Amino acid sequence: MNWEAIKALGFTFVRGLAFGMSVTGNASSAKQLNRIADGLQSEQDVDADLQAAADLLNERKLTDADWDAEFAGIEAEAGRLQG
Amino acid sequence: MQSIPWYQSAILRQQVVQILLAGFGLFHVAVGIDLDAWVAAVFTAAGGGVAIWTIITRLVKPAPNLTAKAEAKEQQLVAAGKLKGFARPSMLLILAIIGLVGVMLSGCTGTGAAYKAAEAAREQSGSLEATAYVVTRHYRNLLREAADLKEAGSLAPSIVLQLQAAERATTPLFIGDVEHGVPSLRDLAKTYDDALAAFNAARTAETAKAIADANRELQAALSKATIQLAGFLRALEAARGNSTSSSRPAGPLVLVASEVRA
Repeated sequence: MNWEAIKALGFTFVRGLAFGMSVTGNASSAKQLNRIADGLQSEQDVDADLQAAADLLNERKLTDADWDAEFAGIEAEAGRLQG
Repeated sequence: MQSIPWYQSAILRQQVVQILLAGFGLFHVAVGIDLDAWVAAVFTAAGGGVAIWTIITRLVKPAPNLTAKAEAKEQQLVAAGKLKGFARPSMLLILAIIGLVGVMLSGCTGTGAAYKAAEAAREQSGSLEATAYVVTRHYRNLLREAADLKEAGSLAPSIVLQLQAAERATTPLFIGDVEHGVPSLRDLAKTYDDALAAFNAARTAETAKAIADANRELQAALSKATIQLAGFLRALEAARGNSTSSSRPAGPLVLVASEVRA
């Protein structure tokens, strides 16, 4: 089963519904629905990246470049958060 | 108005065919028969054909009531001026909820797979590097989400301060802090792996002590990092404004010294 396609379809539907709500005057409900979708989508992104990590670990051994990329990413994201 | 017996309704006959097709599909799933792709395609096409048939029927034929109850309901709706289309907001809302539940249920497969892969690597080689890597990558993702939320500008200042404080307490445990003598998880994992290699090459009291020390230090660092990660996640959940998170660390993060491989 193609979960990615199902998830994309689900998010498209929910965001379309939120848009419909905002057009018909339910702005607060639309905002709430979009906020829930944002949260879920963000978790989906986390999950997809960790799936990539699982694939990497199943395929080969870790290298210094893998670690360097993670540490650089943490420093960059921390900079954005503190900035 | 006049009612007809149910079996004279074309739409109901079509739905019976649909139910039989669906029943066959469920039966084959239940008994585990592996249908060839083309057979499955024929049944899918037949199901789609019935749906088209139903649409055409609804467009070109009248839709008489089948029961007295339905007839009474129709009269009631017509009198109240409420006989409208079938795409009601409540139906759309229910569909949205079903969609969200589906998305949530399928939301933690990658996270679980990463921790399982790390566990498999540890069982295969005795190395703890993969576990440290997955926890680190998990933290980087949560940090990215926190930064996105902050940059979106929708967070209260107090929530931003909480996230920033959590980040300051957590990041050094992952990437290390030379100034304060805190090693990174990578350094500790490599020290452990070196000690393990030395122990496997020559089993002496010295190498055994070295590997026990390295294991203890890495275990302590991982536990501390995981506790801080959970704290960061709590701050992030407050920022999200909900508690739907499915991205908690899913793997076994408590390490034991007895798992040193010969």
